[in-house]
Amino acid sequence: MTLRAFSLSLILHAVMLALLVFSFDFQKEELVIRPQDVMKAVSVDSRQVEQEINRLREIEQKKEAADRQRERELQAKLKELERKARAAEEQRTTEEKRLAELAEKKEKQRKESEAEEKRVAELKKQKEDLEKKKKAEEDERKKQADEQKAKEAAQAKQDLTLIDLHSARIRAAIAQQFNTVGLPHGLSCVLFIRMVPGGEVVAARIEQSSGNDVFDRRAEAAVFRASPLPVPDDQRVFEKMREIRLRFAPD
Amino acid sequence: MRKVVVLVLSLLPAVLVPQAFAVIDITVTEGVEQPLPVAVVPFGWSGPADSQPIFMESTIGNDLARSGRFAPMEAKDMPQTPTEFAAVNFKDWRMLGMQNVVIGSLRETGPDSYEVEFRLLNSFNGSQLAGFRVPATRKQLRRTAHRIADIVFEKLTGVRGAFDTRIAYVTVKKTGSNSRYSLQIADADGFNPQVLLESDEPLLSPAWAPDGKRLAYVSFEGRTTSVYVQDIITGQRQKVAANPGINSAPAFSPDGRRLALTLSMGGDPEIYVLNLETRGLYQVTHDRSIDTEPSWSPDGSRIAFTSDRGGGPQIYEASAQGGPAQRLSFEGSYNARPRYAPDGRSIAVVHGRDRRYQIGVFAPGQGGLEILSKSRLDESPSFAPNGSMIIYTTVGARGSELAAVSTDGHVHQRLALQDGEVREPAWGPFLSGQ
Repeated sequence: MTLRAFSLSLILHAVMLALLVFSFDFQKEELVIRPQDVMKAVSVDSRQVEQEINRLREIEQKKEAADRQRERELQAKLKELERKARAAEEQRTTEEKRLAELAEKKEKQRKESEAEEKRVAELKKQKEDLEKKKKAEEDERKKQADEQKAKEAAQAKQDLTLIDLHSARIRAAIAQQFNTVGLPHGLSCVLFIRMVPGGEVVAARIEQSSGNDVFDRRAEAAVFRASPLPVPDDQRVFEKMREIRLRFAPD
Repeated sequence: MRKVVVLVLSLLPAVLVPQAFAVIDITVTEGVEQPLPVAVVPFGWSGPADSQPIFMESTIGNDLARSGRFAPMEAKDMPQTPTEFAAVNFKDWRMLGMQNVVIGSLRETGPDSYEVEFRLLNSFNGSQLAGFRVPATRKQLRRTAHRIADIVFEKLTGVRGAFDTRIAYVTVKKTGSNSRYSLQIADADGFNPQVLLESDEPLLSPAWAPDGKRLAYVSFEGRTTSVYVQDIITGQRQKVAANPGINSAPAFSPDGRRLALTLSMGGDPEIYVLNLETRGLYQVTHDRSIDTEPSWSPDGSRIAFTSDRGGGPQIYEASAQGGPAQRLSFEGSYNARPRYAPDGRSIAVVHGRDRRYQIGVFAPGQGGLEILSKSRLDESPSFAPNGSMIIYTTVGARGSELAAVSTDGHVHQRLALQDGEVREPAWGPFLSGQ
């Protein structure tokens, strides 16, 4: 496109140059055949000469007119050509501008889409990293939880042994204070007791009465007389047996 | 979202806490049998120290100790001696493991007019189990103390107390070749003896009517044996059996309308039942050997007695309507003078072994016999109406004396308050009205 426009303009310039050269030749020729010289040379037949001169003048005039016409036409044509060239140039520039803009726009779009792609890729990577990290954390957490669970299970088992041991001691301590003298046989009651660290009984509530006040009170008395009860020194284990449900069921 | 979180957080404790603090269950299947500790704090007294009519705490404490069920605390061991509720420091008593605390006061409100106030407290929860405030004359003060002991006994053992009851017995005073017999009644602890009848001839076998207002006994007045029933308050008496031969061993039926007794008018001593209202008489035992010392089962359906039909004296039982007898005692070669326990499950007897005679208790059909007394010549057992103690006679420095033993055999006590010998004690019924 650019090439074509360029060749077109080259041709137009060539034509214009040629036209200019030709017109210069015509001027030269006119200088060669000047009317003063013609009149000096031809004095014999003035009329004829006049005629001839007229005819020549006429021809000359015609020629001049034609030349002028031609020149005008050429000028117009040149103008037209120039206009056309200008228009073409203008169009070319506009087109070039448009194309440049288009290219720019396209480039921009490309760049944008490239950036977008990059951004998406980065996001994706980020997301993957995050997930990976999350999974690692999750795994670690799970591992720790499992370890903690195992540890707790071991601890709980150990605690249970301690609790069993102290339960037996508490049972013995209370049995030693549980005075059954004169009580009817076959009775039982349930007491709910609460202790403070060290084993001191701070509350004893009859959860299920034997139906016999004396029996219930003897059970209650046994608890308080046995207080402080033998509880574990370890505060953590103690917490597990801070509250005890005591069933009194003498054989 | 926040709502959900809050909800989850609020749920967490509810879910986790029971898991973390699961209540331990412990079952106590054993106990110990020992006297119950009780603190009877010295009662307050409003008047001058030298005019105090009675030490309520001593009478109450002695009653409780004598039953064998209680171990009263000595006053010197008490952390404090409060006489009113507001002054009680429950923590002090709790620290000593003393659950049961009796406090009270005695006030003189006029000439021969007093006011007694008492409270039985549970130091473990700071509550009052029982209490009252009553007016009393000087003479009633001792009985008021027994009533307090009864309330304490019942509240702490579940069994009705029998301290505010009376006993009947016969005393014998010998002066030269003469003997003076006296039928008496006294408080269950031996205080306040009261003479109902005196005689130069033997008086035997006092027996209480279930209403506690009459006594039956045997008198040798006129050189023959007769059975009398006497009203305690009016002193009026009635001869109810004066048959040829022996008239002895009266025992009131539980409804108080009949009297079982031993009569030998048929040749050999047999058990009879006399209807006190109709004077109708029927024979319960029919055996050629000696049948005597009847005791009614508490439900009135049977009569236990001593019989030597098997060679030596043993305990037998027959329907109160009469009929074939059944042997109950099998332990040893000598078991006599049966007395049913108030619950009807066991029988107290005089058990002879190796020339020693002691008070024993056995449960018919269960085998075995438990010796409760410790001396060589113990006689005439009689149950307290609540079955917690047995009164009997034993031989002491002055001859036959009153003694008591708790039914579990743990506590023995002499009641040597009388002049002369004491024979055949009979523990009276609960006094009406509680």
